[in-house]
Amino acid sequence: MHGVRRRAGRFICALAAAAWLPGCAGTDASRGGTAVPAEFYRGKTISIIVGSGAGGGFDTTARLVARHIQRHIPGSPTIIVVNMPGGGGLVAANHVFSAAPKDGTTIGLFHEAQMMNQLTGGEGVNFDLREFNWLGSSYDDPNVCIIRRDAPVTSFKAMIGSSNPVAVGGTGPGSNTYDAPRVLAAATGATLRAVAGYPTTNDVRLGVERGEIQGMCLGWESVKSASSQWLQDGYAKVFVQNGTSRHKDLPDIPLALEFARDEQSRVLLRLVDAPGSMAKPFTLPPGVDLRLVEVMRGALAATYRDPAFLEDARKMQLEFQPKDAGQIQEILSDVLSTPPDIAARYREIIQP
Amino acid sequence: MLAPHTFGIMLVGVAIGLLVGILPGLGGAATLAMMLPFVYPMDAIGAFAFLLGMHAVTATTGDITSVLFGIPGEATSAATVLDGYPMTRRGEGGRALGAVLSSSLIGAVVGAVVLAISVPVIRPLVLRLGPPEFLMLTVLGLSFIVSLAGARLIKGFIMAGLGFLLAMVGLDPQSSIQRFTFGQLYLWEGINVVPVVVGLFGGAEVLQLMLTRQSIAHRRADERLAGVMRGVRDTFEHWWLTLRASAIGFGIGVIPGMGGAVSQFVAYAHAQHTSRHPEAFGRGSIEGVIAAGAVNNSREGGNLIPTVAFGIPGSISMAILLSVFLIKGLVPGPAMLTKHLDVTYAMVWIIVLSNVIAVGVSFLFLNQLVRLTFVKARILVPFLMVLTAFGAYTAHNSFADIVVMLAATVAGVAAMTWDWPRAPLLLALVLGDITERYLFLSYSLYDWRWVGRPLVLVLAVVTAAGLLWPRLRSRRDTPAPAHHRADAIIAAGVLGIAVWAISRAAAWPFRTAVFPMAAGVLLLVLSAAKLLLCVGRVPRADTQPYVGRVPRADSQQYVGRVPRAEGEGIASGPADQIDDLPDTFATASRREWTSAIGWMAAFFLLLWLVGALVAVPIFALVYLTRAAGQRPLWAVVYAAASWFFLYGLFDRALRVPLPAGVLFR
Repeated sequence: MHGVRRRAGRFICALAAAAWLPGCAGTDASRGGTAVPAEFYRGKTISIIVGSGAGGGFDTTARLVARHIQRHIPGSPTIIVVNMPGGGGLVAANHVFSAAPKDGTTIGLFHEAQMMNQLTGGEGVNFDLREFNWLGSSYDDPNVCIIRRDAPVTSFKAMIGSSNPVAVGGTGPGSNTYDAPRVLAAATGATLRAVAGYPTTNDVRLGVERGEIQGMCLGWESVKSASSQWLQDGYAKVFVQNGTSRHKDLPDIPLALEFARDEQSRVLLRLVDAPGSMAKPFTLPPGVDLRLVEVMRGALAATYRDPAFLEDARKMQLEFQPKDAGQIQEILSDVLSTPPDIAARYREIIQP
Repeated sequence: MLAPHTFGIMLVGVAIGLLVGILPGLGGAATLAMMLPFVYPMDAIGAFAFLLGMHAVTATTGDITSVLFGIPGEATSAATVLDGYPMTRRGEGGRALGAVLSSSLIGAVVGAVVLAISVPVIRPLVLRLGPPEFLMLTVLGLSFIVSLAGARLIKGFIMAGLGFLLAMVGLDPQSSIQRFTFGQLYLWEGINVVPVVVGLFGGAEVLQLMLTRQSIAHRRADERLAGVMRGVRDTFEHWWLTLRASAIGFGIGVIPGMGGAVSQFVAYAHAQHTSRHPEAFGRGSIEGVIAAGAVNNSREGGNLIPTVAFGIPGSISMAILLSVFLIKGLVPGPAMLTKHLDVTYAMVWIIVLSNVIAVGVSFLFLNQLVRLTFVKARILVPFLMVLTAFGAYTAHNSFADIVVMLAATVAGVAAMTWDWPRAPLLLALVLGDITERYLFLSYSLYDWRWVGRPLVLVLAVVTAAGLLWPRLRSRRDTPAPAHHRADAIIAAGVLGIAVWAISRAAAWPFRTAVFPMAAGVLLLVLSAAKLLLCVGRVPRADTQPYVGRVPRADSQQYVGRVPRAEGEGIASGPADQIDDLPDTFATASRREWTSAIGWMAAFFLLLWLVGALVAVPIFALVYLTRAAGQRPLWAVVYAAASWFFLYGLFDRALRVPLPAGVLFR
């Protein structure tokens, strides 16, 4: 028994050394020109609360940023990632809004689609997104729909009013894999049939491979990082994109907006696209000392410019296209001031 | 094969994996995500050696705590508790560990070999399995409830119905309507299986240890390592079962979205279903241990299939491994079978080698580990209490996880005391929502035409045959299950739950309501039937509140779970008589109960108030001196060690969030 303990002790020490190593290496703190003492964060631990489980897109982004942002915060605090899954980010959003400490040591990263939840008066929303101290978003991730090339209809124009519905798979209400095709169909008259119930988007991808569904709608970043092989091989293609202007990667793909039936449809399409334009945003809770907010905003912006960070991101096929706090606030106030009748219509459309 | 430095990296990975497996709740996926930054400087094969080596062995050591302490170190090691822990209590911990480790190794090798062979041909096969086939596989899995329930058929089905109802908690995936959530945000995601498993088994066992003055193992086995070798021999004697369990692990591993807990319970139930001694399961059957060990290591091979062949991960761990593919510039999919075949086969080797090493290392320590089960149990209580608390907490890093675990503990104690089988509840919990999901998905895709798909029909026939087979086989008379006065009370409680569930479900739209309604009606009928049976057969002169498993000579009704005096060995060999274990729950006095529950409540209250870093050392110090009668010096050392363990390993090295006290907010 003593033998076990001794050996275990040595093992634990080795592990501890391994875990501390990167912390020892990165001490070149850049100086932020603010009134906060540079020592404020020294020896402190900053937690990034991620609104989903380990291994997903949010988690990956948080861990990638956590690995590099330390170098850009004066005092080089320790950064840890804490997963707080639940309600598609609702649990984490509520937590960061009210329960989390307001001393600048808790950062939130939860699903931007919570703005639709707030807009449509979803249950359990105990926050106002406009009151958060946003630091910056990570991606510009417009919603696009892809389809297998061997599907009976592959052009969006031909789908409008077609008698041959195209089945696209999704997880369920509240996710853009399901909501986006519903809104798309309602706003343009395209015969897209959204099938809900897949456990994850990976299961939707397998469904496309099996052929029980012909396509799926999701963020362009996700398509690039997880399904780029499909596009390269000509196995599948993007047939429509949401958004207000064509994405620079997709100059030849039509915008859904071009086929909108009427003005209300145009508003609905802009709504379904809004979250993607500020994808994976980091935030501090409301009520944090504004000087600390500025320090963290600067640190996040510097991280996004850091060559070492960009190299890691490139390896993971992630293209960061951040938006700053001002732009995020603009999107939020825009979306959240949508007239109630349109919000109600949106809610009605995404109901199965 | 592997270059020396790659091998070195793999050893580090395996070492971490072994530790993570023993620490409860520190699941494989969370650890993989934490270790991901370290793979950036490594080459592709090195990165896989590190992460896959780590991942492949967590299930192996997860089984060790299941066998020794009855606390699963991983969700995927839950079924190992069912028979492994009773064997330990009988003093056969060495044998159980020998069996579980050797079957783990064989399972891993089988999984890896099948992966290697099937990689070139697997794509078309996987593409034939769609939602309707997944649905039929879950139905096949659910049909094993019959075997898990054994002679206690009605009780087993009631437990399964409760598991089904628990599986319905949360947002309905079809409509996002809340079901049975009591307005609690925590319940939206549904009930996580980890806190339930830890409470139902681990929590109940810890309470049992607090009630006893003895050690975990009740009979001092004179052989320790000899027992280990015996377990190894058992595995080889049951080679056919080992292979079948491995095949189940691999097969379910291939299917995306079916967690490790599913495959383990299915393999366990299958082992009981096909055993010649199904009545020995749950009381220390070596076959149950072997099946549970083999299945969770063969799963890794199957899990890799969708990742390698399609670039589509079937689980969270695989999603993290997939990101390693991307970081290293590898494109999963057909290219893995041509251009990068070396990487694919390196992965096979890594699984095999890391498991060989893990089992080898475990064997070195077995002697000391088994010795732990012979020390006074109360010394282990603070340590085990931490295992259960953290095991539950890491599900969502929420104190609500611990509350669920404690509720499951109460259920577990009741189930053990009054002989309600726990395994059907877990099987229904892990399969219930998957069944519902794939039924509606199949219907959305194909209407009712899915019923006519060839593989669906084949699976339906297999399920039906499996249900009928035991009826056709001549079966010895199984002992009549004992009746307890409490059964009537429990049945009445379940009846109330059923009525409540039905009344709630009545307000929901059809699709949202149909499964909870079905579970509610099933529970209603079964609990009513049970109630009638109880009323018809009230045991006379039964004034003792805890008529546990202790067989009483005066009444034939209390044969308990023991087929006695049949002169026939159970499971394997005549030396294998299953003794009934002393039932602590039945024999403990009221004062002992009050004291044990008081200590347990004190620990969790303290944990809630002041957090782990303060609560654990204080509890260790006070409990060891007051309840376990240890010398103060030793208690101080124990408490200090527990603090260093938590602070150094969890808080600093692994950076795992610990429960923080509400007072320090």
